[in-house]
Amino acid sequence: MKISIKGIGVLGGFGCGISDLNKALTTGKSSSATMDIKTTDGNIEVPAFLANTERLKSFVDKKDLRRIDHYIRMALLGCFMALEDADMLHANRGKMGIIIATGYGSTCNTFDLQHSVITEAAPFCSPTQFSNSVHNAAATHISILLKEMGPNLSVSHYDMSIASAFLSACQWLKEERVESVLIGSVDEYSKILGYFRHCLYNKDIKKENLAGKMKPKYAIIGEGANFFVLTGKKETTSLYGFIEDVKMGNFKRRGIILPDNAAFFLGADGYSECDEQYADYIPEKALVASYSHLYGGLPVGTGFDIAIAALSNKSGTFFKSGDSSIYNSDRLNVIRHNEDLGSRSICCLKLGADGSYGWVSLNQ
Amino acid sequence: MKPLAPVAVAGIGCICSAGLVLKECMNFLYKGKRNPAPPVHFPTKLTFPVFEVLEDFFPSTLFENKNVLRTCKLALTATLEAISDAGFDHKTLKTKRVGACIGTNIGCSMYDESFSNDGNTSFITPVNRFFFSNPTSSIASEFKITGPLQTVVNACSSGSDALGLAASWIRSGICDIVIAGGADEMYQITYTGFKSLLINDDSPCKPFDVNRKGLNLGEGAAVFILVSKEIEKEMKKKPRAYILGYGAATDAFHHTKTRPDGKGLELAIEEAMESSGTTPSDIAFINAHGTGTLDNDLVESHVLYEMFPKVPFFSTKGYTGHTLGASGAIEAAFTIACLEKGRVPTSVGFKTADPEMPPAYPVQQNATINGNTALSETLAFGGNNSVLILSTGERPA
Repeated sequence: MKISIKGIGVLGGFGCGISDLNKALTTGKSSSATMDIKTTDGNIEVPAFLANTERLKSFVDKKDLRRIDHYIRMALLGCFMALEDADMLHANRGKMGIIIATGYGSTCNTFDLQHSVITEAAPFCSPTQFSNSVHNAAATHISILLKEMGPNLSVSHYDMSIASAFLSACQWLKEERVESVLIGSVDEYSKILGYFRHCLYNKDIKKENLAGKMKPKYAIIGEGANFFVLTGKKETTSLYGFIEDVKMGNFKRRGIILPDNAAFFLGADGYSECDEQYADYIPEKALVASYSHLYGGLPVGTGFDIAIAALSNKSGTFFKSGDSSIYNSDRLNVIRHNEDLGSRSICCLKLGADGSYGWVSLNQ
Repeated sequence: MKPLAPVAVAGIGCICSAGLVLKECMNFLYKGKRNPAPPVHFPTKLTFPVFEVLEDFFPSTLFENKNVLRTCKLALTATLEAISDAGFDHKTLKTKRVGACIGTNIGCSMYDESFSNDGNTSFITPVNRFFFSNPTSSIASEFKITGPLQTVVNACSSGSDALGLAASWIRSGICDIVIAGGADEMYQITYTGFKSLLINDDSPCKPFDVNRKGLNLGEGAAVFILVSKEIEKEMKKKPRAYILGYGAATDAFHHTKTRPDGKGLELAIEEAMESSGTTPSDIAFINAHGTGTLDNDLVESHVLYEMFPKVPFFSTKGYTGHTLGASGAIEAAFTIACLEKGRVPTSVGFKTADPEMPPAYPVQQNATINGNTALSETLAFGGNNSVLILSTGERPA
């Protein structure tokens, strides 16, 4: 079975929709905001790529958006744009499954809830805040608004969330459990993350931080959502290409099995010491790119790489890489200029915590 | 959908307030007793009874990773029992393609009170733990496994969904062995959160009873060792059971309320039956979700009466409380243990029938059952419905 990408919906620091992502890929630019955080040590400033969900109002009635927080709004907008792109927004979608991946979950809401429960004199919390803190809240909102009663899966496995979600999507389609899968991921900026970044790169905090090991200017917090409509119909061509394979494993314990003749989109986003290790595992002189300079550092960043790979398939072009966080790039063949894709497949690779790795490869 | 190949269960581990290992849990269930009490593991002014694991259950000398959260400790303890039950050791796990798929309520983002306030000087350690300390990663790290990892966060159906998904990894040849199940600790946030939804019972819960007032929370873990046909042939003993089928569907109705017409649950049951190639007459009993909330039990009883009018059913929530992300796996473990024993426990807490429910009542005393196939179902926040069809005995054709 060939699993085809039928539609894409993305939003992040680069903008909203595939046209904005295309534009960012062409110009190589994306704009970050500066966030002020009050701490007991004084005010700090952290950069972040933030997502705007204004466009959601064109898909969802205003009254249905009451009590829906930013995290869920990002997921909703991503999913509606993907369905619109697949021309499936108003069509009979048949039996569709929904899979949502998140590394952090709904952190702003969850931390607020936690703070109120722990610090308030009376043990009370808002029922809405509590139900929106449950990790499948985004998937729930989507299924209710779309009236989709197929299987619904939420996964949260930090930086392996995307790979594990795609693994399940492929399984559902291969087992003919569903006719299509709406798969997406979402993560949001929060003050906690901002302060965490400050601690990671603050030279005054000696223990466990990355100061001196990593380059803080390349580690910009990102937020956003990326969604895809996948189908398993018998097709020989697909505008965005096909999901060729999904693999997960542990590179420290058993190395990595990588696809042959592929270009690699690396999930190096400045937040992990693993970023330095990509060059050790990828075949020498392999064609590589990293695009985290457009979407930032977030556990589900690989989803943006998959969207970029799909756009590369559509245009027949590799977009120029940001060189921000690719280490030892002299061993690798970094895509410095837009160039012809040829017949290569694209492997979106993430090296993660404790030696875990996950990749999703696309072909044409 | 077409019937799928059965997947062998080589070993099971289970821990909850009813016992620290599966055998102990079953002995407790057959005694028909229970002992919920106000929580002791976290500070609270509330006094709703819960089912905590009160014993010092984590044999730290047996584990490398000791500085993990309670959910991980529960998962690791159950995994150790499951691996031993399967007759495997660390060497077996190192040489095979082993994956892990664990369901939990909040996955990576476990609440961690230690960084709730800004200005904490030891901020990086707890935040890193928040990112990385989920039960699947703890198992992978402890047992040095090298296959795919997935943490399912489908609220209360997480454990049964994890089992269904893991079975597909075996069927498709992605893994030789999968460590799968569910784990959840009880903590202040969910305890307070459920109170805010007004679905806690202030006394021991009473699933399917007319006087039911809500649920009691619990905690625990159950872990299954699923194996491929090849591993099954290499094993010195027969598998304990088989996962015959799995079905999942969504209510598309409400965040925390069950869809009144039960359509989501019906779809999940139909898919599970189709994928298992079984019919209602094959089902010896049903381990129902049966939380003791007004809505859940009403909807569930109607669906079961419509689809399985003569099949006995019961809820074990009265013994364990609602263990949230672990419940689907714990109840699947109980289902298999009941099939092995040929006996199901009293649905504790049930005394008086609800006139709004159909005339079919949960098991009211320990009962002998005939047959080797049963159904375990889980409903969840978000409208998730998850159903497993399990069997014991010889490998089904």
